[in-house]
Amino acid sequence: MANRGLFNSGDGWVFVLSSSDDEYVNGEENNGGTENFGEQRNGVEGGNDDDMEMKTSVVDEGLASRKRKQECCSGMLDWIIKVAKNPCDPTIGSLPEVDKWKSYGCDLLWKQVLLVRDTMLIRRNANSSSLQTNLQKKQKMHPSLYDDRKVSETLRCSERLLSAKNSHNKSHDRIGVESLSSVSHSDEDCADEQSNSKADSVGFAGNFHRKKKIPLGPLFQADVPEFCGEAYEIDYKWLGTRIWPLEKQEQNKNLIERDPIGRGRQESCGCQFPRSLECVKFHVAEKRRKVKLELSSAFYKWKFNWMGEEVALSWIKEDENKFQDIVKSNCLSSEKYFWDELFKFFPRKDREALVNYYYNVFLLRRRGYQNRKDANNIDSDDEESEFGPVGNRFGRKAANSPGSIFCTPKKSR
Amino acid sequence: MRSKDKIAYFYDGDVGNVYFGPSHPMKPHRLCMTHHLVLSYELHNKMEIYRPHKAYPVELAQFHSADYVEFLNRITPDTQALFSNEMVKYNLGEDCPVFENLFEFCQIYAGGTIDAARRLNNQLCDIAINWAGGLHHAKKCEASGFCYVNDLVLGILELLKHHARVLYIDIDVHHGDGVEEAFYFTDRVMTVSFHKYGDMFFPGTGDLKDVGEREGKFYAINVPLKDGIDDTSFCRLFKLVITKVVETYQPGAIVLQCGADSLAGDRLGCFNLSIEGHAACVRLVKNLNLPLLVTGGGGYTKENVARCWTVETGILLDAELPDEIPENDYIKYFAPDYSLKIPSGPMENLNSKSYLNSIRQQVHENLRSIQHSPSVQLQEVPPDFYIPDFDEDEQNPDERVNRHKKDKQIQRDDEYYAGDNDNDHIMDDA
Repeated sequence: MANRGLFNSGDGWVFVLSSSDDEYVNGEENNGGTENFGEQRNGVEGGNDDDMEMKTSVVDEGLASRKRKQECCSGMLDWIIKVAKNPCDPTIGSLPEVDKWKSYGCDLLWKQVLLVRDTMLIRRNANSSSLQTNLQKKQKMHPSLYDDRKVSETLRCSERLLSAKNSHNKSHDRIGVESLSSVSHSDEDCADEQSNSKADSVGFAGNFHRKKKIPLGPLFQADVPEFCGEAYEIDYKWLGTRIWPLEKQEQNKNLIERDPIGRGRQESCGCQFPRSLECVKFHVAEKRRKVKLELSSAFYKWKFNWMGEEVALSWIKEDENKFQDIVKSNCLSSEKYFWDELFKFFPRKDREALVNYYYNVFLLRRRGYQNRKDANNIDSDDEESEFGPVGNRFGRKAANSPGSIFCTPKKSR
Repeated sequence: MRSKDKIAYFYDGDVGNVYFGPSHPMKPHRLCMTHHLVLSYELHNKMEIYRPHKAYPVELAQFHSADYVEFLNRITPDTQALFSNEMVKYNLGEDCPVFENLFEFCQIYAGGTIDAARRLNNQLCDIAINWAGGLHHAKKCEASGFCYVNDLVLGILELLKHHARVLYIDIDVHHGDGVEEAFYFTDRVMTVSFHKYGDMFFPGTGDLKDVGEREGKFYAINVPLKDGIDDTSFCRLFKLVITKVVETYQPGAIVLQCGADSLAGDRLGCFNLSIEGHAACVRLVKNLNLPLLVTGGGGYTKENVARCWTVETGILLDAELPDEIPENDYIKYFAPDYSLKIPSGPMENLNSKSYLNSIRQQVHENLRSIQHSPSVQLQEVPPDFYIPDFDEDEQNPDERVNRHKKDKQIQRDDEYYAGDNDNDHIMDDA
């Protein structure tokens, strides 16, 4: 007996993943498949010892079928990954028009992708409708939806790769974007229709959208009083403390050469080796000195003394090396996070000092290194790849609830 | 030309070391970088810089519920495990982690916006800037999207003591849901938000059809956009919407949230704006010559945030900055070009002209429904923005069009100009 899994597609198709054939079978053949499945199940429900055997064999088959399902899926997965990596590869080809999709067989990988996505959408809808009320308030996105590597992300992947692929040629039909247009973001529809269709439809493209409602009531809206004319008592309290310009008594009596307002970096300088590391260091230090002279007390109030690599001057070399080692040795570990280790190793330094060093010395130096290595391919915010998995906050669990603002796909530059 | 505006700028040196946690995209260190860059360009010599007072809990409770403020005040990373119910109730712990000095951070950024509003009310300045503020997702009783206290709502409530009507404009890539929700029932605040909408993009609200309710009906405007919008499309739409809004609503003051995540290359955003395009919106609002409160907001690629808000500080000060970034402690962050310009990649603009036109039509339609004050007649608005079947942006507005074309296209004569002060090149591009 072939091992089969059943998938229900939104438009009434029941198709069966067959392990032996490694393909989706649709239409009339489903009845046969369904019955077989039914028989298998009925068989399990009867008898005793026979049942045990049957159950065991069903379980075994179940496990085996899952494995085989994975093998079937892996072909499709590999194709998706290939397309995602190079959407412009001419061997990929282009899609036929939307209304012709049904006439294509499930042996085609792109067809399988569409069907799987559609199925998963139906499932997701079924689950979400029961949680509607809660979700309305706390609608969140699951971060895995933006992970390019998983099957469940075919929706996002295909939208992205196809919109990237078809940047110029509108005549190519597109899975994500075209269906988006036809179902919920129709370019030709007026905005009214668009949001109506969006509210309830579950399109084949799957860009379904349940409209999030704005909560109303005393727990949500501000209390806005009536405007009672322009009689406003001038209140000189709490207007902020002026830091700049300096108070008269503090204004610098010394002569300071100020740069003109809005002056940029100069093209040339008098250094022996212009634009060398030493030249840059010199000019940065010179500027800092000028700023310090000019700002006087403001320099400290704005914590300029806590900015830049000069912060390292207040650290001993041994501590700096320790810091580096801790960060580097914990960067690939999924269990330990370097902040936990940093706190342990520097009990006498407070959190602020560690964060300050991290941003002003460690990251800056790392950025300097990246600049020299490959200046055109830098992401100075890319802490994850070097420093561990996403979302850990001082050792706590990653954010994995849906609808998080945090979870958006990373952009390539 | 109006005389130079007086600018009050708010900054507190303690924000630079606020840390949400490793791998969290919100990095207040960007504020430190911005301030540093502003000073590198000597812009401090054109304005007054204030350290804000730290907002008291009672001030935060002008909008937020008292129990939420109290909880924010008391909770620490060490005790949060004991209050799991409240953590869920107030939506803390994931996007909005509890970190050391969280409440102090809230007091600083909220205090900045409140003080800014007070300075404007007292007419001590024409424009007030608080880059640390703009946390527009926070709700009355809960945190949301990295925002704990909604400084914008607090600032607007302050402005409402002196002005009958306040206009709120939001160009963050995310919908300004916290501010819209707070003022959903009132006509004393008009909220206008330009944001990405759809694909389950956070926060999920901001539909064109959400226009407000009760007395506030038609006083909320949403401009939902798709991925990849570029300078030309965005600025044109911004100009057309905002000039119409101001003309119709006639606010006494404007609050502008300048979230920098609508820039190209932002870690969480999906638009394709350059700094020039983003800043052109700021310039347009400044040139309306109304009391203006400018705040920051989103922005998760910190060197681009610093660039953007420095350029915009320059614009507010009428100082055009050269692209070459002067030497400063953070110069390495601006490699490889060390320029104020950011690279924008090839990104498809999924916002077609007909889509944008239909949004504009709907917004204008909604604006026709409101009459803000009986002493001002509702203006006759001719039918405009007919959906063209040609590329509008390639048209030269000065060129005479033949009768056939004219019939297809109905445009107001003054569409491309917003009065005497418009010297905005991007806006005039056609």
